[in-house]
Amino acid sequence: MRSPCGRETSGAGARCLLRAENLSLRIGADADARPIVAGVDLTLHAGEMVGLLGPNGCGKTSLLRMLAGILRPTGGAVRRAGADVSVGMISQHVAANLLPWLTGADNVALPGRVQGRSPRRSRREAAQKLDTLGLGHLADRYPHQLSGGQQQLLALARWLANPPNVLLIDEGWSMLDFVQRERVYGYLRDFCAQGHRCICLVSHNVGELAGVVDRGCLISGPPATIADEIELTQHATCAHRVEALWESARRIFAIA
Amino acid sequence: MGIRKTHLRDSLIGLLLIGLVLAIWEVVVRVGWVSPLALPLPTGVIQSAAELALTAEFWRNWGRTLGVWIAAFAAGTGAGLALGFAAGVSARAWRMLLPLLGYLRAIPPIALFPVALVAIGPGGLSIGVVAGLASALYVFPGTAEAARQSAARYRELALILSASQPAFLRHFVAPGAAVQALASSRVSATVAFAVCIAGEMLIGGRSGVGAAVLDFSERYRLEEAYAYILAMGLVGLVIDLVFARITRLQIVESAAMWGPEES
Repeated sequence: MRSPCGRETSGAGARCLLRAENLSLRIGADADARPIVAGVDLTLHAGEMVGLLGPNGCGKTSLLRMLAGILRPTGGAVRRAGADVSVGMISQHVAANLLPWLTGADNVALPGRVQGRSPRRSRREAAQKLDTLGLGHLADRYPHQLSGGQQQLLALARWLANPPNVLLIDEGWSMLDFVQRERVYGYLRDFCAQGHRCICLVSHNVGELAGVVDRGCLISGPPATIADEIELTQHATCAHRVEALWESARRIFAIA
Repeated sequence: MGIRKTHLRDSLIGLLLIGLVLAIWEVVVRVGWVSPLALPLPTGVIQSAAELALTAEFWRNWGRTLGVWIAAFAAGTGAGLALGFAAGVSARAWRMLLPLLGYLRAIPPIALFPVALVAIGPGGLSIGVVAGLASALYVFPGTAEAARQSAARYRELALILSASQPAFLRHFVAPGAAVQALASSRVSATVAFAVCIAGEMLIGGRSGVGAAVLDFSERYRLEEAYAYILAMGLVGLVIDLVFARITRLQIVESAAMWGPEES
């Protein structure tokens, strides 16, 4: 059986959840249109974690926003493997993820509330999820009472409590300390292990990215294009994964 | 000193200031700097107010004025809020409504009384229509701008959460714009009240607070006229305090969005 992504959904191959085909984005009028993303092909499979690595301003966020359906591409298409495939996203702008008039629990419960679930039930489930993540103390606090890192944890907790099939994370833990980061990586691995779920994340830290993702995509630009794609699961140790990613990065970005 | 005690002390100072103004007024008239024919003694005004408060006519006038004001404010503000939110979330509605409402807003509401008199006739309905229109025109721009900002700020999150248009309005735009919309409603309440009083003086016939002030002034019974004016100030103060309280509750509910961050 073939999915809308054109890949086998049964057998040994993992199910394709989301696919970008020749994705392009241009901003501005016809004559002065500025290319932001050019001809990106990217497939996200169930169970995998894909990392996007690239310099500032190369178009990674625009690519992620097109995958999330926030930006409409000017060329190519984003195809989901079925109408039931849901996509969530954590923005790099911390304040954009949370509503300031809602408590932590209410922010986590927001997807349920938006879909019409009862406030009491949504809130109770959200508070339970926060407890299991060790974030119960944030349930009754408002975003302005939290540090940037705690706000990022709440944004992640929202999607762990209401898991989408595809989770896109744009530098989602830039404000977290190293202890919290390790915990977050654990949550993300568990998320991907649930089946029919995958993560695509942007990070600027090569070492961290190599340690956590299955596949690394090096983005050059603007306009954003995938300059190299590296399967990291074939490397036995974390050191080898880091070295493989660095080697590619050095070559593509001409780092001495 | 606790915050509650500080607030109580500030409120008491505010009341003392009113007493001080009345005392200065009393002195200025008693020493003859202002003629009691132009400005009656405040003690006389307060005495008249106490006597008026015992008459049925006083309460009938206030009942009529407040009835027209509440109806006009509710209808006008409701329409202004609805139009404001519609214009805030829809760029098309914003483009279509802004020129018309901007044009109407430039016309002083009092100038519409002669037109209302011809079209509807004298009395409460004409006053209510003009006050309602004034109320709507004052609440619209602030609400529309707040809704526009709120929609722009949270549209991305709403899109990611696959929020429907009604859900977007209910969970994102309305709470995000609530504080500014309330502030606009507060201004529109005051404007509607002023328009009602002016309307009663111009086309209201012989009932209502505005008509009573005009009537007492024309009969040179200034103490009664001032008693009504002082009562207007008191009613205006109560309206303002009610709105201040609602706005404060809303801000607390909204977690005073821009509070200091805790690290």
